[in-house]
Amino acid sequence: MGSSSAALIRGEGSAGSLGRTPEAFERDVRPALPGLYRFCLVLTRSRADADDLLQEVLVKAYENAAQFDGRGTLVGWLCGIARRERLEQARVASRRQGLLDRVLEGCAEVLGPLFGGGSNTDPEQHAVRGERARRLITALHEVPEEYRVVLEIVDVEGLSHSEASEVLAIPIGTIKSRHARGRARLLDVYRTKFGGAQ
Amino acid sequence: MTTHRDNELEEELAPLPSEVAEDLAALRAMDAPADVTARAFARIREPAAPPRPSAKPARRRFVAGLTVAASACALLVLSLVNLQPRADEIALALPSEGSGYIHLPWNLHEQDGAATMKVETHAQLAALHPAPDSSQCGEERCIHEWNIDPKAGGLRVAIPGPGRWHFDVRHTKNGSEVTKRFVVVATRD
Repeated sequence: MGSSSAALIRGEGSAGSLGRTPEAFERDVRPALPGLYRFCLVLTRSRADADDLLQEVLVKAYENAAQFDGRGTLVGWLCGIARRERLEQARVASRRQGLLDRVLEGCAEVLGPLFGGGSNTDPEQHAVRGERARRLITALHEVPEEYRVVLEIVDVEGLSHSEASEVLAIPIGTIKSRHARGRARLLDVYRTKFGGAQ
Repeated sequence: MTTHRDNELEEELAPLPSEVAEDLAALRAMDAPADVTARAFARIREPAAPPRPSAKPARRRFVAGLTVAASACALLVLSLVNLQPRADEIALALPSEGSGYIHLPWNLHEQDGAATMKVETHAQLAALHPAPDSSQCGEERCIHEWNIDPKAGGLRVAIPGPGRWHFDVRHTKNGSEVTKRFVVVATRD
């Protein structure tokens, strides 16, 4: 491996810099997992689906580790895989159910214990953060997926518009407009659902 | 949080209200559950399917054998045999939450060239990797189809919960078809 995990996360890796053995791969991708998991949660309708998606993405990423060229961030590359996986799943599911965008049936499941432990934070602070994250996820799920995905990777994960454009394979102008519209929709949800964000 | 955001972004969009910004910060602090990542990495460490035994020329059109490997994710090795359809039961221990996985290698001979594989499953089994080339679904059952290269790895199927999950696998080549039926009996402690 030619790059440190931190460099990979920052997008300073190089072609072939992702570990090819299970151990090296795990070491390299572990720092990117929180971002990937958040993306999966926002992308899917239930925590169980997010768990499954994360696992599928990691397996696929391991199988295609050689394709990570280090030009973008590792979390962006992983989110791109998650997005494609999700589209495939949605394609199959839509044939089956005729509904691409299911109702918020799994939302309660998403809203389970979001902070999985291992934290040194004060329990009260922990609970408050959990409530806040939960509220945001609920609100994001009220936003159409095309906007929601952009909001997650730009506003939550901090990717630039240009990297979001690469990850989602969408022109940068579209990313910018979806970002702006997504934010507007999100604020509408906060206003109507929570009575805030004036 | 360190971001890669374009500097001009904030100039284009009004700052988010503090309430939303605080919720965003809370979401950024969220980590992936340890049990989920542990299961994912366990899958990556799964041993590869055992090498295909060399087949006699007379049997080269179709591949034989069904092997179950007991591993963290219950690796299942499915082969297609030159026999009449019959059903096998495979036990799958699901994790305490979430889905379990079975792995179905396309156990084909390279010299056979590309083949068509059809797998009929319960409609709830939508998490198939790779994604099918086509799928036809009724209310309860789906028929998924792949045109596969014999060198391709195999199929992963997520089993979402306890129960008896029936699979019918049909392998079509040179106009003839062989069917294999099996049942995954999934349980959760």
